[in-house]
Amino acid sequence: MAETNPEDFEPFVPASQEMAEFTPKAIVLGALFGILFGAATVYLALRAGLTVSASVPIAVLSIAVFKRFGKSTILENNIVQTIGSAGESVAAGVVFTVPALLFLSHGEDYFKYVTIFVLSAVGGILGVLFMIPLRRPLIVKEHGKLPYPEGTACADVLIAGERGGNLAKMVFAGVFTALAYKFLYGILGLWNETATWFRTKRDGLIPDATLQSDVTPEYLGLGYIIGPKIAGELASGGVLAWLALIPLISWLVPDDRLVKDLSALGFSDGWRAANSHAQWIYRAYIRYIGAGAVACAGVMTLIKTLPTIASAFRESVKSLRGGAGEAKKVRTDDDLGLGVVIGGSLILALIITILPGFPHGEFPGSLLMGLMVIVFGLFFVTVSSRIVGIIGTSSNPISGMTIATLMATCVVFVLVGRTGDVFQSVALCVGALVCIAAANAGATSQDLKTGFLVGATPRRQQIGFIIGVLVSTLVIGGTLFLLDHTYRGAGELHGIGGPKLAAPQATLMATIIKGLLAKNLPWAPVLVGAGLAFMAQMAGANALSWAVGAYLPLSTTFPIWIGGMVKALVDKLANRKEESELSSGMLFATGLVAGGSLGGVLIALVAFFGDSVLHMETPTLLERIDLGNNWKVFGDFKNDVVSGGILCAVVFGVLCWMLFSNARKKLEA
Amino acid sequence: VQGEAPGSPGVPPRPYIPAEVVLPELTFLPLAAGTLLGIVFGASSLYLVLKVGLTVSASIPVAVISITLFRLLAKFGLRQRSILENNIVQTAGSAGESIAFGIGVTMPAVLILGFDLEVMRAVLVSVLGGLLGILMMIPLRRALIVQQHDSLKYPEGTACAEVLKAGATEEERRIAARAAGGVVVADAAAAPAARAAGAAGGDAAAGADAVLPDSGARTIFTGFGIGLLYKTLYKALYFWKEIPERDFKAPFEGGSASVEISPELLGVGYVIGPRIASLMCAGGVLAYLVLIPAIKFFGKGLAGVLPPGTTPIAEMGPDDVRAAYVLYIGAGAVAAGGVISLVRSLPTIWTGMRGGLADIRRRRQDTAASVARLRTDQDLSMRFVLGGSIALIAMIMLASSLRMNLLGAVLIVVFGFLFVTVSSRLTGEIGSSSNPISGMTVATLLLTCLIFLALGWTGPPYYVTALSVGAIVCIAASNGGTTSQDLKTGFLIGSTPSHQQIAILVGSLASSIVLGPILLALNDSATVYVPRVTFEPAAAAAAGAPPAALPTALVAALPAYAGSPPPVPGSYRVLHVQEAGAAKALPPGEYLVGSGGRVAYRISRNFPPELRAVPAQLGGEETLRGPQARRDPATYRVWQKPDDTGGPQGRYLVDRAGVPVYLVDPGINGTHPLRPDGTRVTKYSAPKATLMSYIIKGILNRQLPWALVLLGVMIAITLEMSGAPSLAFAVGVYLPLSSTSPIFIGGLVRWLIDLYLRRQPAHRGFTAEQLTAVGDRGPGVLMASGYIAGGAIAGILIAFSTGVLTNFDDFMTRFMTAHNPLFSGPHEDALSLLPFAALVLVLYLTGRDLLIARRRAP
Repeated sequence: MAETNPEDFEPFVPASQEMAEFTPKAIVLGALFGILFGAATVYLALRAGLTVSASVPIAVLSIAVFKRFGKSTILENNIVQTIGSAGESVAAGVVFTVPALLFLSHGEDYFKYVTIFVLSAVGGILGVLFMIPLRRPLIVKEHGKLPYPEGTACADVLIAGERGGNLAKMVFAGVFTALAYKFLYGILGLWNETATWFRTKRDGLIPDATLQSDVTPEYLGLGYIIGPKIAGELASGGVLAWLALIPLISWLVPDDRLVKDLSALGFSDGWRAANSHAQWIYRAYIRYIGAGAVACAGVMTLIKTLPTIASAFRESVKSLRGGAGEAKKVRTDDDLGLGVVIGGSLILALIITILPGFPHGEFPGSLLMGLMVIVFGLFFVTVSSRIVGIIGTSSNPISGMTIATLMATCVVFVLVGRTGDVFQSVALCVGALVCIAAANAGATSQDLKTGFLVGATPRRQQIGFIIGVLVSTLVIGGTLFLLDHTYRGAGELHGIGGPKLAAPQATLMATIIKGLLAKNLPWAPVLVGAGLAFMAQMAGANALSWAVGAYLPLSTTFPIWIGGMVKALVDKLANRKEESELSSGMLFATGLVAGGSLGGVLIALVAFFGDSVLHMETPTLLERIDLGNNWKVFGDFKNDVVSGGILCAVVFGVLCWMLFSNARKKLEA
Repeated sequence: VQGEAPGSPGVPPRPYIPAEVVLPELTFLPLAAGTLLGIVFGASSLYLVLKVGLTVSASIPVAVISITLFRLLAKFGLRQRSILENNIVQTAGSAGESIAFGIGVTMPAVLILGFDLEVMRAVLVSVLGGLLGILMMIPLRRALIVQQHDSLKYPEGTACAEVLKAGATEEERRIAARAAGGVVVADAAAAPAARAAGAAGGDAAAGADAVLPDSGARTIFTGFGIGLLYKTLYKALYFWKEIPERDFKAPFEGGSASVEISPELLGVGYVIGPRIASLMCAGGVLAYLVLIPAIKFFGKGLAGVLPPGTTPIAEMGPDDVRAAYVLYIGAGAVAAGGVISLVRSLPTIWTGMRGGLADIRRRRQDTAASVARLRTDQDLSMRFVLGGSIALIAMIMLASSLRMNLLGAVLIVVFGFLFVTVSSRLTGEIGSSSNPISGMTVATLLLTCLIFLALGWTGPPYYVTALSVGAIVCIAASNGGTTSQDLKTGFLIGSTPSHQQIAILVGSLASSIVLGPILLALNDSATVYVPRVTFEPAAAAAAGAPPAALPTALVAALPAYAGSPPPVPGSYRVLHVQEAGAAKALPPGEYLVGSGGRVAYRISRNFPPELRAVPAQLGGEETLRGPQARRDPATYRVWQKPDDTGGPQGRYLVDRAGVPVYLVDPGINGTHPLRPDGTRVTKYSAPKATLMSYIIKGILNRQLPWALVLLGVMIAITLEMSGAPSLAFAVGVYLPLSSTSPIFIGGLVRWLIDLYLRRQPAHRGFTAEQLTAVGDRGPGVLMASGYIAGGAIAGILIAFSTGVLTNFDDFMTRFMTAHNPLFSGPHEDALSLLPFAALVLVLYLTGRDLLIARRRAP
């Protein structure tokens, strides 16, 4: 079908057929999924620096929900999927950039709910608006050339749901497994989240070598989805950092220097008492090495994708010019008007330049910021949309584009002499808006492709997006604050940047801004990290995922690696090279990720409830429910390094076995 | 037409020259020429394996040279030589490379273990190993080459047969065409026949793209000439700097980048291709841009000395940090990489072994029924094989320098036979370049050492026993692989196996005898006799610009120097430079400041003055060898210091009073690059030999700097997790970056050429493997082979000549230092890259077929 003239393409639901599409129940369900997946994405992206595409699981869930509670048309399911998936992409864009405010000087002043709300709403809507004129050239004209893999997969799911078949069972099995697992350890405290499987003494032969693992379902599922190659690269960076670099540094650096460096970074005596020596070194030095590696790898990724970006932009401009003079309006070719696009974007750009309490500098000068957002945004939305058309959303180099935006913005700021502290936050906001817009444009184009294949009405989809963005935006900032608050360690103001919420991409953005504008980085470890990124690239690994692994705690990447290994084993036994998104293992793993992430948010909510509503100080609400706290023998058992480690290994082993056996099942479609 | 043994499984194809045609084959001149070429390529391979731990196959270059040489001689009235004679040349000539690999991988471990590298030991090991490998291959030929013709491809052997066929005379082509059953239409019939043969071998591209030997040989010789000339110009005549380098300043203190701009390393990179080349260099990047700067940054605050280093980290330059710490990390990584690659290839080795043993069993049943043998099916007799093997084992037992015992001999026979079988099968399946010889050697050493450990044989003499077992098995396995490739070539073109077997025995014997002394001479040429204190002229230490005079007030505050007098006597004061910031141009270290505040020398204290030899441990008498012998003709006694107490472990030369005068730092795996007269030598790193010595030491005496070694192990594991083969990477960590960066550049050139080839319309739809095969036969590889041979031979000749033409050498050094901006001056590093750029460009253009245009087969 791809070979025929795209203009004559016949979708699943023909243009002449009208059916229920933009109905209230579809909008409500979509908004609900948008909120859930937005919150889950915030959680996952903050902790592991990775996200998982939401379109397919939402489509599967939507079919299942409507099958149980009233009939629905395929176009309604498509609207649910369209609205719901906006949450994931906006959340990813926000989490990759906005927490950087905390790492910039005086950036904390802007780390407020309103600011985050404005940033995500404006960025998300800009992404949707910029995509409107691009739909016809990219989705329609180039139908045969740009496959949009996730969008096509989603259309397959929708059509399969129409014809019967039960894909949702696997997803639900994963979700409930993960939720139950989370409940058992997160609320009841039957075992610890982090297992220490290996730790050497400080004065041993190899000092401070540590192997810890978070035994969580979401990491396991994530590893399964990204596969053994990327999972291996992620974890190998962590192994190098925790089993080679930390021992080396521990061997070389005397404690008085370490303590001095830590206090300079603002770590209190209390924090030091609560954390291991390996953790001291990680926070004092490895973080900078990791950030240097991520920054260098990001720039290398950008350079590698520059030809793709350039040709993508050239091609799009060319087809935009060619497709201008058309006037054929059928249902499946009806977009929002160009007036909405131009007017809307100008208003949004104006809002961010004058809104009080928002980082933009003095008014007339702040127009520069609006201009840059429009220019970079338009450019990278075009690029992002085309790239996801070729290689899919998961491989979309959003962080590379954000780095490019940040660097260009910073260079412009340096040239016009705007190097004050406030401009660090301004530069970050430009980057954040472009990042959110580009991320959302990628998701939007996938959904428009799905719509094109099933025969949806573009105008309704586009309105759906804007609704999705606005609804999910409401919870994204809240979730961010909730997690930041809940996952604080002892003696810390923020949880973000701590061991539980590493936020690697945001650190990278902050590192770049600080390096370019304030020029006050500890260059030696950063450059050592840059050397590591070069090494990884030359060794044939994907430098960016490797570097993110070096930055993250090994306890995060190790369970991901185990997930990747389960995938490798399943593939080997089934003797296959490529696995489609629609296999039983993939669906179960998606469920694990969604359930685990939601569970994490729910646990944070419970903690927040105890903290702010019931005003329980010590012990907190979670500590009161925790079985280990109430029953001392069991508490000693699960907190002991050896028995606790074995306990975690056993329960995690059971989880792995469930994933494995479900992945071996044939899918009944 | 052919009288093939009916009923044999997998009917073998007709050979190019049928069995009943008898052509001249084992004649004197080809045998002599082959042996000579074998020695040349063996020597250059040895040089390479010592430098970077790998070699490249010599078969095709030898075949091409042989064809051209005899064609040239025919023009001068000598007899035109047959294709079978050319095959004899190639067979005899290929032995040198595989033996050199075996020696270079194992024998330097003797030095690292603290023993002398005696000539007899090296020669014996290589002769015994080489011959054993061939003898054990003889009974395997029929099973592996003939019966499994279809399943075992032997890629290098098949490619070499294509080259030989392309160089066949017209008469031979007619014979071949007639035998193939085709119509006799002059020589044009040969090309389709060859192509058909190639297609039958599963390699459609083989015939179509084979380089005509004429232009091929021209390419090799041009490359050889360029390599030889280029290397001589900079290495002997100092036209430009050998290793342009750049030390990064603070904040990236300790980071450095350097490139040894040599033709042979560039060529190696081109031949091994971008993937492995960049992996090796990635290891170098880890060592030089991550580990050294990290150790420098994190360790500079340490007050005291951190063992195994001997000076505070703050006073160390990049090379000192590398010698004190990173080399152990690298060695640990190499050892782990070796064991991992062994584990990975265990399944392959296991199936190889099972298949091989099954073949032998089947063959034994067949032999009973066999009748009169055809010419192309005559091996050397089984009696010769058995007798020869027993004689070799007896020699191994009797040679005292190998410290062999009965158990060792039994282990050699068991492991030797096992791994020769495995190696032969694996080269058949995946080719010589991917054959895990190092892995098999590691396995042999591991098992041997564990058996010794169980028996309680852990004393130093048993190190040599274990190493001898490993070395002989390694050389046997390596040579067994090469022999099988040659026998496959012979099988395809219709040679007489027994003639080939004699030729390769002769070639091996000759190469083995010559390679041992070459190994020793290379070691001697880079050996430094390190005195108690070394004085390095400050200008050289500061890299380029001589440091400005220090202010008088500062100088007056410095303590006076008292100790052994520097080359220019006078009164000096001692200056400690802690960080690069203190005195701008000076790297960290200890300096002597002369009159007028001029910084004169950087001094290194190599061993403490109060060190005294233990009389009971003193060995024989010895004089200095190499360039330093001229300045100090005295005789000393040897002291092998067994541990680190009181001064570094190692070999000392001690005067009559028992006072150590020199620490002997070997040329292979030594760590002191500076002679007392201020000249620098380039050391040989022999990475794989380090691996072997660490396995022996780790199991038998367990005295390793475990912390650093385990860090290296972690690094190897890290690489495996991210899907990269860790051994090549680990070798890169161990080698100096200057050796791996030119390999990387060579790999990049190859990458560009492959990119070009992929875009050619003729290669549309080729798989990656087919494309690599096309590239492997291209003119670029021939040019690179020429670079390798030329550069390595020049390197060996220059190494031999050190200490001979010293006056000329001194004059050239002085003249070039004064007048040549490429050798010495503010921009020496950048300028020296220009000639290298030209070298790279020539290789690239040749690879693109633009420089030495070749004619294609009709």
